Amino acid sequence: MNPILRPQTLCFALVLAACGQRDPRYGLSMATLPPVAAGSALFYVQPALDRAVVVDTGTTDPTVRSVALGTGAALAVPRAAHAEALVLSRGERGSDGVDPAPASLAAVTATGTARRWTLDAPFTALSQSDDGRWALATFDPHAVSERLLFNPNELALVDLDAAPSATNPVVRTVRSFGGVPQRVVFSPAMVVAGERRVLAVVLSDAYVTLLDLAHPDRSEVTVRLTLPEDTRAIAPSQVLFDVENATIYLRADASNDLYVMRLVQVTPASATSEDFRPALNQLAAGTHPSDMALTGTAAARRVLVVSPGSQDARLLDTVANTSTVLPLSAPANHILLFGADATAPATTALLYGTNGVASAVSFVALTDLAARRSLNVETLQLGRTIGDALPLPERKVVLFSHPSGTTGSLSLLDLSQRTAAPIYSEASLGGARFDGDRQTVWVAPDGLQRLGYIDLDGFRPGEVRLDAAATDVVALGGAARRVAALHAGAEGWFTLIDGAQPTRAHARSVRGFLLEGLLDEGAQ
Amino acid sequence: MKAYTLTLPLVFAAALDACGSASNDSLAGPRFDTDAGTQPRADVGSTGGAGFADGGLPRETGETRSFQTPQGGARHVYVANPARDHVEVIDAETLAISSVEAGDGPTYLATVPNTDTALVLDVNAPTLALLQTTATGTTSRSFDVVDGANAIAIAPDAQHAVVFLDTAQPNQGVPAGSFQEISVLDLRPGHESSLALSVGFRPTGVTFSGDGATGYVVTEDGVTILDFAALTGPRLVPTVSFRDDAVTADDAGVDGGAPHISRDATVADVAVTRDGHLALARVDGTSLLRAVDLRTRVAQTVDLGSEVTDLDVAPDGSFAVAALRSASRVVRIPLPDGLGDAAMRTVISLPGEVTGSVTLSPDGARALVYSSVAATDHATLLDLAGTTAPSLLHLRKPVRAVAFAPDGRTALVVHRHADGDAHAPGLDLATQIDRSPGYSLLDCASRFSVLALTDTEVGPFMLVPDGSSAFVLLRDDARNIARAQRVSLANFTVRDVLLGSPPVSVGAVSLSHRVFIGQDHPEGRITFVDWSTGTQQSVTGFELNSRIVE
Amino acid sequence: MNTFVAVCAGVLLGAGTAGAQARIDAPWRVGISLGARFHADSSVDAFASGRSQFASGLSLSRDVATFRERGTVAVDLDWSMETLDGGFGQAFHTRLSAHALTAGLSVRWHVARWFEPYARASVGAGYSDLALTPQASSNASALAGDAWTLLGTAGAGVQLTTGTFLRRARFVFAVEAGGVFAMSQTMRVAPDAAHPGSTPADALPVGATTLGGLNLGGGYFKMLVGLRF
Repeated sequence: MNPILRPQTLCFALVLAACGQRDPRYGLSMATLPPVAAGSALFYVQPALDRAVVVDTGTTDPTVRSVALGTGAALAVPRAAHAEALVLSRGERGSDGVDPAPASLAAVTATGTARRWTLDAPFTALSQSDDGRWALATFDPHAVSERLLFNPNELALVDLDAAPSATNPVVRTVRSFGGVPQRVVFSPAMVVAGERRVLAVVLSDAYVTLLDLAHPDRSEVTVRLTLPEDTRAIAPSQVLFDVENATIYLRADASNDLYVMRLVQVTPASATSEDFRPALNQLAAGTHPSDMALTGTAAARRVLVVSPGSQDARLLDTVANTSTVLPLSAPANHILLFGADATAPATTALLYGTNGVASAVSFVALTDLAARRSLNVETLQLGRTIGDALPLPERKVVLFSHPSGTTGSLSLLDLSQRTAAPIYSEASLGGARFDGDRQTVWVAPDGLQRLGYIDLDGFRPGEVRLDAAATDVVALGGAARRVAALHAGAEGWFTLIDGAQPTRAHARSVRGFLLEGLLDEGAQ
Repeated sequence: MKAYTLTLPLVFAAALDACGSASNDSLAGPRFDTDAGTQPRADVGSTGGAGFADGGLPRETGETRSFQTPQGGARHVYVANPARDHVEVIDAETLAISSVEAGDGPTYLATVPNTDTALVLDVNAPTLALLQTTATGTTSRSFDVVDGANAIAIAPDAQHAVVFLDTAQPNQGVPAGSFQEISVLDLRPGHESSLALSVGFRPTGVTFSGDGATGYVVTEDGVTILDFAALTGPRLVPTVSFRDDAVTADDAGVDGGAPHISRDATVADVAVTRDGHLALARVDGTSLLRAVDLRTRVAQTVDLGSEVTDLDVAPDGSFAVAALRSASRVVRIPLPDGLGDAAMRTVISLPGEVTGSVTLSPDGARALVYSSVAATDHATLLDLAGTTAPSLLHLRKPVRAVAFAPDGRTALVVHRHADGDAHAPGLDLATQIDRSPGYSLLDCASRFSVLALTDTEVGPFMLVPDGSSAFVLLRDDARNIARAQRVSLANFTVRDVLLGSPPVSVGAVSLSHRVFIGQDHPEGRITFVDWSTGTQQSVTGFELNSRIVE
Repeated sequence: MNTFVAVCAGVLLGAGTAGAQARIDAPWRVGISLGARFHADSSVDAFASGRSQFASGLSLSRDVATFRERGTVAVDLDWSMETLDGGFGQAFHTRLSAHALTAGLSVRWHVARWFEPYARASVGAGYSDLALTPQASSNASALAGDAWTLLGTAGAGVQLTTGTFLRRARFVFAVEAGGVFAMSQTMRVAPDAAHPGSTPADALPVGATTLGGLNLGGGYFKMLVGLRF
């Protein structure tokens, strides 16, 4: 601009500009939480914009809808057994010109509707039951609090099938022995003290808390895993439920024991006391047990445990408190039970070790194991150490990735045939994402504009060229077999791949949906 | 966590014989053997260490009992938990656990045989708790006892018990309690009481007459006699000395030709006959025996001509057996007549053999003669009741300790081993055997023995009350060895019992036909094994159950 | 500011007392305009940090009629453009180029030979060209789109004309302000083939994304410098 004219122009512009200020919404970040797939929809939550963008891929042309959420969305997860996304919002603590807003939990559907429950505290973690009915909001011990004061033992129980009310959610503080909740596991419905109920097992440092979801008004039951003077860092890490026997099995880090809690009926001490109490026992489980699985029938329940520290597996008789020790040729830190088919009871266990601890796996026949011991164990050498594993028990296949220097490699272990088919890759698969839609395994290597796949019917590999590197690959629900390769891009971008016809010609790129209606929403 | 970290003790039923002093820190304390009617006897004035009694061989050694391990009753096992001021009572059949408050720092436990009654001493207060378990639960009653007490002796009739400070315990050092005070407990229903008495210096053990009416406290000064019926109140009780306290012109000589006991002499292997009439001991380092009639307090000295290295008294008190190591000889002395008449004694010569120690079978019909310190793999089986000649046994490894089964038909011999790695490459079989720990099982009738080598040191062991089996504990934390071996004494077969944690103690629960194995676990673990079938069950976390909060 | 007002007042007074002087016979006028645009609609906020933007343009005008001795009617063809640089969502750089081509009718009143206030109205078409460039990665492809719309302006101003030079030419200077009335443009963007980044040439077809309605209406102010001849 001509310097001579600048002052006049500026004056006039200032006068005119004083009549309108920029909509602050455009200055907010468009960043999203990691996308969530639920049903046939992808959910992109934009915390700064207090909204979720739902892309429903179930229609011929993907439809895009925007759903308002509570302030400060912090976590988005798919709702178990439902085509919905759960979004946990921390609320707004308030500042100059910004009104405070309460925390909330929202359930967003693929059609763009949402139900919202107001929470009393800015929770940062969410756990849910397998049937998707219950959600428990807690504080993630590793997250930043962003609050002046908060009680990490506070939690909120939400019945997702019920409308928000004075009793839904139930907010309470659980008893603490100096620790904070690390994780929550929900039990399946089981009969305890004559009543069918679901328990939430809150795992804390060196103790667990049992919450009775059928009676949230009753006091919780806290079970210590160590004596007060014990300085070991016992951290419960795995929980199994024996529904028929109303028993909880717990494995903990830094402990060589399994904790067995048999829930027995007692007379409540008061109106708010529970009518059951755990009888605790500890079973020796080798050195550093890393995984466990329940086998046998209700009358003859056994626990199979792998302990890489002692390089053995143990079959524990939880009634007699005896154990059958199976020395293993190769250390294992995982167990996969499988049967003749997906619905049949498990008759075999695959024991394998990830993170480079082993290059062989063990098949263990569970029938007469206590008597036959090592006769029931068969070792299969893979020739390479196992880095990671993707079990697909319903397909009776396990995908192993093997760490290597320059090129990645995979193995497909056929559980029925007990064969391992190597799959080689031209590129390193370090950091690759894996997902399975039960018929195909999809591989998205870092930085590569290609998506690999392995058809599990015949172990046939293939690839689909993409327009950009995939940051993740997710399987979509719905009638059609499809996966979405997610790409980086603030505008929102993914490529839909048809699982039945995984070719570029049948792929579809969906892009820009996060910008949909950008100009129209600005003034709202 | 320290509540359940137990020392390495021996077990109640597997009492071993030894003479001389204990030379191992873990073996100090009241010493028990099987050849005195299961009554304990103790060394008087034993100082431990490795004194050289003859020609370079050290004193014979023995293994001892600890009171800090779980103790078995008739059906229940009692576990002291000093950190929690509780005693856990575990039902051996149902594995139900109950917790009973038992004073301030309950630590030292003893159970009344074949009953569910336990006595537990507190370390933080001069009190003792009497626990009695019935179908409805466990009751506790507290008694005041002598300060610093760490040992308990219970009379065979379970009517009385004696509590005292045993300074030979490894953790005593400079104890805070009295060296000459004991507490006598009257356990009779309706008469429960505690009475403090003064006794001779440094009591080291307590024995009882067969009927339990009299107790004998073995001290450095002699034997203090406790007539329980007469102990109705505070009083001085008589102590009968083993020494000859008469002053003579020639201290080093013999007065009138009779053997003279130096006032500085120490006596060892003190035993009291079942009828309580006679106390017998050997004078350490000499060929002399000292016998004292506890009724008349008349003492006599017997010279056996060669140093006496071990002395055992038959369970019925009818004879005693003395081992004369340097003479390779064993002498059977009928009591009391054989003390004064040498012709009545039977001398059994075993030329070429090291006859350092002797262990009698519970019925007194047999004895094993061996040495627990010499490098010999021989032992000799004596038929004391019959006329069978002594049988020389080639056990292939030196002997550390011996225990007879309660029925006397079998014996378990624990071996010593040479230093070095038994699995080093290039070793011949003989060297491998020499270096390997292990034990032998001996059938006394046929003289047949089986050597069982183990991959780690043989720990505590026991023979079950009916003599059908034995249990041996094996532990090596570095190699993750934690198991017991169940040995059938009928056919000498061995079965491993795998344990979840390192074993530290083993005992029996008679009514349940079970053996309990206490293990080293932060929250406490005990495994019960049916000694007939081998089925096992474990219970862990006694304390945690009581700390569940609702 | 006071000086400016005083000058304007002096000119008006002087013009009023000058009497009827001869109208300048220079029907053609070409000029360059510089000024500012003010946008009333918030949709502009997506592309700029402020609602007012610099604008420039070209103008061609011809007198076509006179009336009442002092009045002159002229028709003109005007082109203006403005470029908005901005960003939104902490994710995109934006560049919006808005062009307006209008045909207008102005009525001038000859107050003095050299001083003519006027009113002007125009109608025309607007064209907006939008480019969105991701901030995150230089290899990412940009998004672009454009749209047309109808618009009109109405305003008033003052034109000043100098004496002749080169026999007929005169310098002309005008100041004008008014309003812009534009219809909303539906902006759609799609991957920009001119800036594909790392996207391959045979990229999968992607449907356009509708950003919504952009309305560039508002006010304007401009100063024109040109020649009359």
